[in-house]
Amino acid sequence: MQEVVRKLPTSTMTLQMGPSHPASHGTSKFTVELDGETILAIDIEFGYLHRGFEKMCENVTWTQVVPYTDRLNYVSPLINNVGFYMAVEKIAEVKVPERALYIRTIISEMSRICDHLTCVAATAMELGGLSIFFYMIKARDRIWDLIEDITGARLTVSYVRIGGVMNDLPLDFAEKWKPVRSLVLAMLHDVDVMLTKNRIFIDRMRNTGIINGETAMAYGLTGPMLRGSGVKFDIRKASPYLVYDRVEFDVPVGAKGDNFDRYVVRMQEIKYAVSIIDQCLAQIPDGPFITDDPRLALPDKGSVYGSIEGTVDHFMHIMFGIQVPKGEAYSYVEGGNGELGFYVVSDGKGKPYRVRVRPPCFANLSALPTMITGALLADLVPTFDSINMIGGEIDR
Amino acid sequence: MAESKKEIKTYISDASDDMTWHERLYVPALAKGFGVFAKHFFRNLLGDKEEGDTGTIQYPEQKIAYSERWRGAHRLTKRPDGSTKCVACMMCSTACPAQCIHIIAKEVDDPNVEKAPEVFVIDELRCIFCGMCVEACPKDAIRMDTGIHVPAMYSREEAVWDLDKLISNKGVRGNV
Amino acid sequence: MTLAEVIIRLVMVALAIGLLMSIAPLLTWGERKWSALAQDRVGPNRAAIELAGKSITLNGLLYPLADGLKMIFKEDFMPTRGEKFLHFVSPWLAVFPALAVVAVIPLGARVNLFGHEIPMQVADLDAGILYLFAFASLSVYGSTLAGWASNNKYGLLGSLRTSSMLISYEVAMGLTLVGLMMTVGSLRLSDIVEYQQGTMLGFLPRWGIFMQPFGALLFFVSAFAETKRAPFDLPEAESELVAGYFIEYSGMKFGMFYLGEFVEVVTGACLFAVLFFGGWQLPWASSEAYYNPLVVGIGGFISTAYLVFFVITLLGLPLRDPRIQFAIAAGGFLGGAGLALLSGAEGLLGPKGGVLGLILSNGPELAKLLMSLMVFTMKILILCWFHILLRWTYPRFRYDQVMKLGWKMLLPAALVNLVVTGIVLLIIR
Ligand code: SF4
Ligand code: SF4
Repeated sequence: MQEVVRKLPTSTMTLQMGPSHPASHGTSKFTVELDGETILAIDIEFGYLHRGFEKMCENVTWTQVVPYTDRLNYVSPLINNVGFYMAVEKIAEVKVPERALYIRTIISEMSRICDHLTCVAATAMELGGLSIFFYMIKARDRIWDLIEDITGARLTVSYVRIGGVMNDLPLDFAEKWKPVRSLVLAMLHDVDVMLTKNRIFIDRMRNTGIINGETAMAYGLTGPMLRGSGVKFDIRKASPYLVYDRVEFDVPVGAKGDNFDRYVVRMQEIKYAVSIIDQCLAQIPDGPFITDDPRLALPDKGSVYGSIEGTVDHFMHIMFGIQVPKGEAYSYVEGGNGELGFYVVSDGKGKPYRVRVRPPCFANLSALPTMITGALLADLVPTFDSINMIGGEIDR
Repeated sequence: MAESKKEIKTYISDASDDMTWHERLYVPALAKGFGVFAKHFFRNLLGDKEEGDTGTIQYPEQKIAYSERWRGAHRLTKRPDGSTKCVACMMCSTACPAQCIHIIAKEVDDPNVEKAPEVFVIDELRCIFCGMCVEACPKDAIRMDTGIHVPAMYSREEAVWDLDKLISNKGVRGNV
Repeated sequence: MTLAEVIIRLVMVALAIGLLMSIAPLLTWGERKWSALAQDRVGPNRAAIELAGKSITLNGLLYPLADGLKMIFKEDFMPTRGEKFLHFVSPWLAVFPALAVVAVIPLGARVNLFGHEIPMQVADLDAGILYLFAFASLSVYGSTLAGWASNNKYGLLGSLRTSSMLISYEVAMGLTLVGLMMTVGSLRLSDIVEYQQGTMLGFLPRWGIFMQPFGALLFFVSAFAETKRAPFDLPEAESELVAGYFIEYSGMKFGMFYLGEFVEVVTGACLFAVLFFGGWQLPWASSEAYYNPLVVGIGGFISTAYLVFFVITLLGLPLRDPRIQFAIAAGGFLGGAGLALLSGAEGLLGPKGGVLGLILSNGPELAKLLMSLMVFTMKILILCWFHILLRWTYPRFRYDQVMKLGWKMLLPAALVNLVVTGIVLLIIR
């Protein structure tokens, strides 16, 4: 018997998954080496969505960068908008009006909800629970309706400007938020009943894709992935920006760092995001929504149409771009997937001299081989989904 | 605020590490999940189609109203005499990040106007609908409130909208 | 075998296949539409036929038709280095066993019409259940060979998963039924249905599900696994293996896998109805009750009303509308009254001559036949609905978890069920 076993020739199988594979959304490619269904080695290839964001920024004015940032993490474009202009404001040392800060917080949290919804929905869908996907996407669509109300577009929002935002919240925003809020919460409840206690789901998520806190920090993971591993680190708490120090919320953490923990962290964060928006709407003061600093903001339309100074000011801003003073700055916000950083250098000539993005997914994805080697092929799906790789962000 | 926080808290069950015995048995949680699913089914089956919570919009027959700020295809606004308000100042084409506006100016005899576009084209395929041209215009001459999408077309040339086309587009809220 | 018997058999074959082949495509519609409703969507409703300037969509009912046309005319792709013959036969191997199973299913009550004994069953085999298992095991060949013959790694992984999963669940499936066989004391399906009449413990219908609740649950799970639908769809797991074993199939060959899946759903529902929901039996009533006009009237009302309701949901008419509600009630009333009249007319009017007399004297039997067919159809429609909706609710298992469930939970549970049944039976008898 022993003889026979030894003579059977076995070999591993190399499977190419992607770039156009149902699981590799956001166009990435895995070359997986399989022994049966066990993953021996995995090689991740990305870059299929590379557009040269950083280089492109050097050729446009500071205002014209904003459409590019929309297309980084296209699931939560508003956070990217906010993140980029926070870096610019750091260089220019502008004071952003209170109301604009609140508006930025509200839209950031709305984007965070969308981001987490998309991630959990995609995980559930790829595990076979298509209905959950539809429930969550329906809720996300309602939020997008609101975003369309605020910004004028659903996805390519281009909403934030230096020193503030493009326009004020619509008057009936608080009214419109109420039904959306209850829809989101009702949906969360439904999804919770259908997933959280469901053993099939627990089995798929628990103890798969584990990464412990120490390794996670070594890889530079941030966001829900780091918190899932039990490290209580959230930029909104660690280094509060906007008005995060004025609202109450908790930072949920997981224990083990497996997929299930990350799912729970995301679900909880949606819940807290809803509460943050509520608090912001209760606190938001009246006032301007963009700074009145004439160096950095367009003059208001009234003076452009009506006065020669306004027209000239406007003309200078448009024709030569807003003149951001010389300097450099790194600014970071808590994006949907973790620390979204922008390093911006200005040479004072009206265009960025250099822009560098720290996309959270990049670090997060780099941990995938550690998390998945030795697991089954089927585990690749929830693990990859809980990383929530966004092609536009990682490939830039 | 306090009560709203409590309400939120109840929406997520806490996920303990160890499965309880009834979770191990699959059936109770699965039955509950099916209950939620069936609830949606019957609500949509028996409920009024108008009020039912299907998120579907039967598109060509049924359209949603876009929000007031929604950025659609462009139009050029008009003076009372029907000519365009645009003074060919090139601000929009400078501000455009996609560089899809092309303008050639001409002189006009009217001393109040002096300048007007001879050629004004927008390549709606290149346009990314960012709205910066509207923001840049000092004369309120270009707007994106037509409420229409750029339709599908068979050639690239059709996507380049010229002055006549842009002037003839109508705004959803009044046609200045 | 006399000529009449041959004709009866042929009619039965036509009936069984007809039932299967009308419900299965309907279910492809149902799957789309029902899942859409549960997912807060509307579902497909655009396939239309232009008639006299109006486009008729029938609430998406034309999609099965459009699908069929599309599949027939699509290119039949064959991987160059695939195994041609096996690639060709495996869709047939997948569909045929699923179809063959229906032969032993009693679709309605055995009646005595116009002097002929008519069993509503293609073949009333002694070893009906064994026949079922034999054919259920055959279906594994279709999907296994399909993946292997395609020369595709995803296909291969899919077919490996299929074969191991199906074979494991067959073991559990067989054992779960032994309890029922012991209770009934027969492997003949018509006997099992006959046994499930009347009441037990005074208040429950004596149906398999109440005699063997645990067995029913286990059987349901393993039968569900046999259909390879979510949460057991790992052989074709879309997000991992793209389409699994039928990845290299297109056109009508793919269509056969697709149809085969729905045929399996229907046969699964038939089986479950026969084994655990009393087949064509009315709840609480004995099969003699089919001769009671009152019972036939009430039963007829319920089942006709349900069928009308079903057709109305098919057409997507608004159920809130009072006229529609009236139509359902009226349909039920007409059906009930008609059947009751058919059943009881001879008793009221006395014997008559001629054609009318012939019909009247066969009235009770005829009513029984129609009624039992309707009751059975109603049961399988409800079960199919349940089956289809379940598929959309849960995430799928992982390969090793499915094996664990099969071997470490279902199999021991089935054994326990067997032992407990044995003990209870010993005590009772
Ligand atoms: S919307 Fe943006 S891209 Fe389009 S024409 Fe205006 S500025 Fe250019
Ligand atoms: S900015 Fe306004 S006025 Fe100037 S060219 Fe553009 S449309 Fe005409």
